[in-house]
Amino acid sequence: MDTNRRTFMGSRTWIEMFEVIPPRNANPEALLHDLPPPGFGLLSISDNPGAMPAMSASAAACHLIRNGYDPVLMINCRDRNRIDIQSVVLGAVSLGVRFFLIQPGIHQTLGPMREAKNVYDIDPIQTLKILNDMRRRRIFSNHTRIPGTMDYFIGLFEHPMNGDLDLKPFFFRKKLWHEVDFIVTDPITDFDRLIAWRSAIAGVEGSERIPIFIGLPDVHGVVPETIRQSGHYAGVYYSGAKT
Amino acid sequence: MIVGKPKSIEDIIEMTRPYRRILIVGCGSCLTVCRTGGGREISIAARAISLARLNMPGAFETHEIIVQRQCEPELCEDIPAMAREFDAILSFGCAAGMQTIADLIRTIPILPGIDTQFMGRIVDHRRYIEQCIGCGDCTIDQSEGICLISRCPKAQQNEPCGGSDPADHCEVNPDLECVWVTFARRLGERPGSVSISKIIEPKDWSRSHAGGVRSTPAEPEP
Ligand code: SF4
Ligand code: SF4
Repeated sequence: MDTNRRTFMGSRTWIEMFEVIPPRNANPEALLHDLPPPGFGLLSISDNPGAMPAMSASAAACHLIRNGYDPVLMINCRDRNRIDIQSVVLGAVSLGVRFFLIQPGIHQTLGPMREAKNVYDIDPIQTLKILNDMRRRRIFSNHTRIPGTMDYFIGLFEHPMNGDLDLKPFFFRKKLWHEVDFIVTDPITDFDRLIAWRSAIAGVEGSERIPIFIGLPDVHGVVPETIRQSGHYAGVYYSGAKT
Repeated sequence: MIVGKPKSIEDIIEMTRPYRRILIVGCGSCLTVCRTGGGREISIAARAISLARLNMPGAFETHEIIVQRQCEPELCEDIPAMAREFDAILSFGCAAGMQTIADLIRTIPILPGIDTQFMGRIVDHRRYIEQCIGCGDCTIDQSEGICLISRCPKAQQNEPCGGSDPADHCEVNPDLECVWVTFARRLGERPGSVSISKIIEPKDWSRSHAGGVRSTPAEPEP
């Protein structure tokens, strides 16, 4: 897949992405209940949100595909090592998943199972590199070959609301270097700061080609019309929970 | 330095309850420096156990001794003979020290008086901060001399997680600065450094504990 914005967006100019929290049980009805109809946008499936067990994101994605949706499978680095992440991708692609969204994951000590051991084998940018090598070079992280071809989009988070804006271009460039396909921001609570962040990364060559989804704290969030019309963003991402 | 935290006095009393004669062994190195397993601390433990045992039936006896380094068998050579007079050893060394003693003395139980915690740096002799998890693949040359593995709870090696609070404290441990803020400050102090733009590759964890129990190669006797 080409990583440019046109390929990702198709004929759409604005995409709404909703984060779906998989149920904390084995009932697919609980997952499918209350979802908007297929075709409205994208649904991202969180991966053990809140550092608590939930229906696995892969299984939830499978239910969504069967029901006509095009899910974005989230993968957290907290619960999975590189072996598992690569197998999750193979399995998900075999089911028809086309989008992956990588995140570090909230630390388990901030959730209700603080006694659990975390993994953090690879970070999101290292995960991006491995997933990119799997589709482009058709190799696993140890360089063994993967027969056949695979195509998917890889997304990562950006954090406009916190940290030093001067450093943001360096982090953004690392993502572009490994061919990130789309970016989702953390929930935005200050749109001036979002604009400042967007200007900070504007100098990174290729940044304009990457679809950026503006994170909103929940489904009631609204993006100011000027920002929506600026052409700098691909859509919104409605957070379902802190993951 | 190895940093350890004493077990709660309740835990120690519970652990020592079945034994009448207890040898309490402190360590004169790391655990003395971090004030958890030196002479003062083992005396306090002995007194606390004695006080608690006042209300329990049966005679009771403790004896305290400090070994310069419990992790060195040669420095523990007096302990086996001494241990014959006791029913249990309560060690205030780090876990390497405790296990050295357990290896030397197989006939009576070794009880841990300390929870061994981390390899740390001394901040002000009252405070120690973890600096290394012994990953076996040191990459601090790529991050301004800062360990992004031990000092970031999410081992974020290429960018911050975005969870730090407005005062730049870590999302996971708000007592500590986000290590990426420390990193950024270091960068500012070393103009021309390009470390922030380099991608740190996935670590080879086979060189860490994940690769199995580690030891240095056995060297032939001279
Ligand atoms: S990179 Fe590894 S060896 Fe170096 S300080 Fe960090 S944990 Fe220790
Ligand atoms: S706030 Fe900083 S130190 Fe804490 S987990 Fe996130 S990146 Fe790591």
